[in-house]
Amino acid sequence: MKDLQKMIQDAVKNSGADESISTELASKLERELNEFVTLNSLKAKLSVLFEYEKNYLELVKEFKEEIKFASGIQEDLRKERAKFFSETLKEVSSTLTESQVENKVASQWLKELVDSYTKSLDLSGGLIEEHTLDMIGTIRDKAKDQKNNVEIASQKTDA
Amino acid sequence: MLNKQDLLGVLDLMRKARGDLVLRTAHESPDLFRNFFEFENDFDMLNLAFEREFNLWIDKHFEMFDSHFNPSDSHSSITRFKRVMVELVENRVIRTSTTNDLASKDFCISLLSEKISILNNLIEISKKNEKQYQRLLYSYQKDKTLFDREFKKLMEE
Repeated sequence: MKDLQKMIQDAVKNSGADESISTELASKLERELNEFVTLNSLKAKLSVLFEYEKNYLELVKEFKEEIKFASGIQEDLRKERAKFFSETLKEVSSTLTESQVENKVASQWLKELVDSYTKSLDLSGGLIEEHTLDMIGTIRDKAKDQKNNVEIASQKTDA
Repeated sequence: MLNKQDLLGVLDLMRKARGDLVLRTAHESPDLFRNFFEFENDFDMLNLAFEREFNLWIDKHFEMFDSHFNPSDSHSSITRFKRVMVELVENRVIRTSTTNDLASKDFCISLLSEKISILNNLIEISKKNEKQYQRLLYSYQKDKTLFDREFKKLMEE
């Protein structure tokens, strides 16, 4: 910036401008030039940001159905787990009580049932999580590729 | 990444199997409840009855898999199913192992270990290993018979 300031001052001096106005003229030129450079640089940055945002939106659009699918199956499993503990288990427990199964037997059976049922739920959850993470990985990779493309395009424009 | 249809197929199978497990109690299945009463004062026999129920429940998954999927299905769906099943059986092995005083513990663990061994060998090639697969499919009938024998043996002791 100091070089620019000196260049302007030298240019004003060499132009033969009157000394009484040369300092003010140099400062004015410097201010205007700075504003121009800042504005252009801001425009370039905004343009890159705009490209990023546009690409992310396109990616979200491209994966909309996948995201909906992953969220839907996660929700179904969450509902099933909640229903098991709030309704199914009560129903099963009532059947054991009504049919007069001995308390100790019923309690041991319920423990085993809950263990196997929840293990199966956890395994299903694991499959869903794995699928979701795979999908996020694919989106991230695509976003990274697009980010690189935007950066290359921006560097070419600058050059 | 597992495709949607394959993932839904495996999830659906697991959900149906869980439903079956619960319905057997909710609907007071006679063969299950008879054991609850018959063995309420015999811890070993009662636990053996529990083990049989869960072994047969695990076997049900293989039968369901057979009706849901066919050999042309993707390798990844078979691999995921196998991995989930190994974990389910291992969970049962841990549960059975911690029941230290169960008389038939070794018998139950050997049945479960055999399942794990067949499952581990199942996915060595890209398609269903037909021979190993058939061994899994017949395990339901085999397990039922072996459990009946074990019951008889314990009754006679």
